[in-house]
Amino acid sequence: MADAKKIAVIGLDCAPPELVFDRWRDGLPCLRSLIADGLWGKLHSVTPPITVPAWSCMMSGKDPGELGIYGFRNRKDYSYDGLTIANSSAVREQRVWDILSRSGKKVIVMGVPGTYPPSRVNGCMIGCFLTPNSDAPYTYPPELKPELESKFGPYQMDVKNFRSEDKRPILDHIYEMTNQHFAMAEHLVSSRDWDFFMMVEMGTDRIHHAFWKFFDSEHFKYVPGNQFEDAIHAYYRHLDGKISSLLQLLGNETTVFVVSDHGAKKMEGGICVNEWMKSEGYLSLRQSVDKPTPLSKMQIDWSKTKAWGEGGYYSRIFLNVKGREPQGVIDPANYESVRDEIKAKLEAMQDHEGKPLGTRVFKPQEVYRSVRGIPPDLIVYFGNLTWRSVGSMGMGGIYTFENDTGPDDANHAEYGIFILRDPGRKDGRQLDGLRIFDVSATILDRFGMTVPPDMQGKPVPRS
Amino acid sequence: MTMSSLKTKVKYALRRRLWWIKALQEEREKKKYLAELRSAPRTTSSASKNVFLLSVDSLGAKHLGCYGYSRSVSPNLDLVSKRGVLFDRVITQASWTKPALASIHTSLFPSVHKADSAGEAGDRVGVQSANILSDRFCTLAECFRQGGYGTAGFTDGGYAHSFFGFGRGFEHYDNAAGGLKSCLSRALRWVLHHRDKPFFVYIHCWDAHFPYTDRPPYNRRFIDKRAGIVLDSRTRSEINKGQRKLSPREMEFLRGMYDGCINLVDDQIPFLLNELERLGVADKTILAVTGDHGEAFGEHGILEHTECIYNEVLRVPLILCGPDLPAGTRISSQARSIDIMPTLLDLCGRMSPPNIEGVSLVPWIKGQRQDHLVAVTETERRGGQVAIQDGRYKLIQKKGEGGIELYDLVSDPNENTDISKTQPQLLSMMEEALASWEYQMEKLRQDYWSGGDKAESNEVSPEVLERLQNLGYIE
Repeated sequence: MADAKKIAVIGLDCAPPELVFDRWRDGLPCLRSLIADGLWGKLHSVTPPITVPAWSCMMSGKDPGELGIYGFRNRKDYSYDGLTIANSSAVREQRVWDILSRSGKKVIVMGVPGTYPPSRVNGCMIGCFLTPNSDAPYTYPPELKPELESKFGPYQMDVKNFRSEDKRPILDHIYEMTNQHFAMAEHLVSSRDWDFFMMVEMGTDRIHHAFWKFFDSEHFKYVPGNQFEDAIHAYYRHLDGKISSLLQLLGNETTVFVVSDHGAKKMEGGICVNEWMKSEGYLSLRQSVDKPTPLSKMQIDWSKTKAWGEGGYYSRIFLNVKGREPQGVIDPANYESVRDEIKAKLEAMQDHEGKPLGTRVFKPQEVYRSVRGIPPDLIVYFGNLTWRSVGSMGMGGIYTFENDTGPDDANHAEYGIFILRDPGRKDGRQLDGLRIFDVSATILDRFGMTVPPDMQGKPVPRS
Repeated sequence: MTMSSLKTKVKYALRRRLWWIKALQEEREKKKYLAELRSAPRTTSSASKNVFLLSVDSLGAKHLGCYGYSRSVSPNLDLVSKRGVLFDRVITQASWTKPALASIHTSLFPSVHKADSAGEAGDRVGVQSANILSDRFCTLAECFRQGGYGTAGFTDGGYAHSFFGFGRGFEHYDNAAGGLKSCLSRALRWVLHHRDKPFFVYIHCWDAHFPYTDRPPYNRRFIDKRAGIVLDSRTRSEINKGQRKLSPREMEFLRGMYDGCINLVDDQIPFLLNELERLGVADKTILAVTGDHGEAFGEHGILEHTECIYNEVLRVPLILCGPDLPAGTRISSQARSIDIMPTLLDLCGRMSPPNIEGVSLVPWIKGQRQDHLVAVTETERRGGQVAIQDGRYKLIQKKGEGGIELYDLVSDPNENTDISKTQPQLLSMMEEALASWEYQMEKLRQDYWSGGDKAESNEVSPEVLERLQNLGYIE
């Protein structure tokens, strides 16, 4: 097979293999034809399977430890409230478009998580959903912004008012956002000279989180015949149409990737991780709380607290270590034994009905090649990601079925999707064992370029 | 002979010949220590682990028995290596002392810590042109001190002088501690009075640095035929510029003198081990021995170390011995000098600071990892040279001279056959590895050096925070 002339990557944040490959494939003609002609399979995400850092891992071939980005929020120091959200300048490793730019290839990069503020490339870049608002400088070069706004209006980087139970406006806005992104993509690929194009659509992730309970008959909140039963499916059909029109503009000689950073699955409920810490004697409060209170508002007696946890789709556990945290209590010599003890207890946790939860717990030092920045002491998938982690206390127990941060019915799953169609090929072959890092390695390989040896991925063999 | 070259000759001749002054100082220091030991009250030492880090200037792995050297110059270090863990393949991050030590103490590469260029001063302490180790970096001693350790450093000045920032984090830093034997006596005396809490002691000794002492019996031990040459900065520069060639006999003589210096260092090791035992801290003390760089004897037409980017200079020893370090462990995976800091902290159950570049080698010690760590070495000499090696291949980029060299270290460990022209694919792989590393260093430099507001500037705005909260990513 000759080297690729052009490569296009369409990223669908959170698109799960169960929906794209199995349940809905036949109703998605464009994706179905890519699968029928291409190489495809489940794509194993990183630990944790979260948008930030997963896309940066995919495009750099580095794991979260090597990036020093362990999730949306990272500790900037060892204080108790020192969690910050890192933007693109925290990504220190080169990503595919940096390598391609250096070798003289023209790139278009749109909305890939981890690209706000946008960086200098040989081509153009539109910042990701972490762009604060449409007034911000979200394009490289800066002149691109007025050009886009004159044609497509203010940039819709993300869905607004997501917390609402009023679902109709959310749905409308997801469509509006997706339509704008594809319109911008069509404009850029037809008005610019390019070798590499990549876009990431966040609508898929947002619609899963907002509408999962309406379609998944196994979700405990599912009501048969509800008005949004078809919402996600209809959106996928719409998206398939958008991808189809874009592919027509890309031409037959373009190598096409459709990928996602992680999957989605139903959420059973939440584990109030700090209530559990308290019940196990790891966390002590100066004043108990009787109504839902976030961790930052609680009176924690740090001098009697060994560990605490953060909420989110997965949990991060932090140990209160002497000489490290301001009021640390764990002797550094006992750090490993305390960590092992908490890990074992979490793994043995039961659900509200006394059945094993199947929680998985990871030590960053064991799952990453190196550990930069300040990693959490433990990473926890409650019920293997079927339960979320709730950091707030005062929810009336360890198990909760109401989300403390607003409606949300889906959690992230460890596998995303991978579809690759080399031009002119009729492969139609399913691949096993694909890892998220393989995407960047395959892009470089298809261009006939050398994959830097420090990237973790392996190119999908040219057939 | 010009006046200045005469002065150089006299200076180096004195430095070599006045060994007996050093010997007197050593005896005095040792006596002082022993006297205080006799009168010291008995104290129980702390339960935590201690660290005794010894870096020997110019100590290359190549010249040690435990690394396969044919001459018996290091019987005691060889024994220590059998009692603990030996890393077979450790690459320093710089070919001369100041940046190399800065990399050991900060776990960062020279192009980030920038404690390099000494101007044209050569081996002289060029105060005006000296880049000192910036206090924006957290040092190994600071980490230990923050963790409640007593910290003390002993050296004989030079580039390890506190002037260059190396005293940071040390409660006590001695810039005029003499040769290794007196450094040890002073250090042990300090331990004697501070062993009630855990300690981190650092020694950087210069005994193996040129012009190689004329001290008997070390000046005869590895010499067959004496030659009338003294390695000083002028001779070095003449040879490295190709203005002068050494005869095989002269080269062999210099090598023998250098081996004698290593032997002198090695002879002090039993004293250290015995005294740690006598102070009751031996079973809790991790002894770490390394070098800042090695020494070249014309293998690649270069003498001494500063300008040399080949492995006779870049490969340094790393021997760790003490509690929880399994005896007789030999690790063939490649490691770097920047890994020493996180490893020592990890062995003591201490956390490494964020944003360092090295990794803890404990997983390698436990046998959990076997991969090679990619090592980069930089020197600004000869217009700038950089080498990257992945355990198999090594790429050298000579920026000043515009040359590229590639070696297969498995089939050609001595770097004799440049394969950059015949193996374009391997070349481009290593060039990509170097480009990737340079990209990271550029970002890291920005993080560390572009003003103090960096920590705030790469955080997202409150609007984004709220949006993420609404999405359920954050509470």
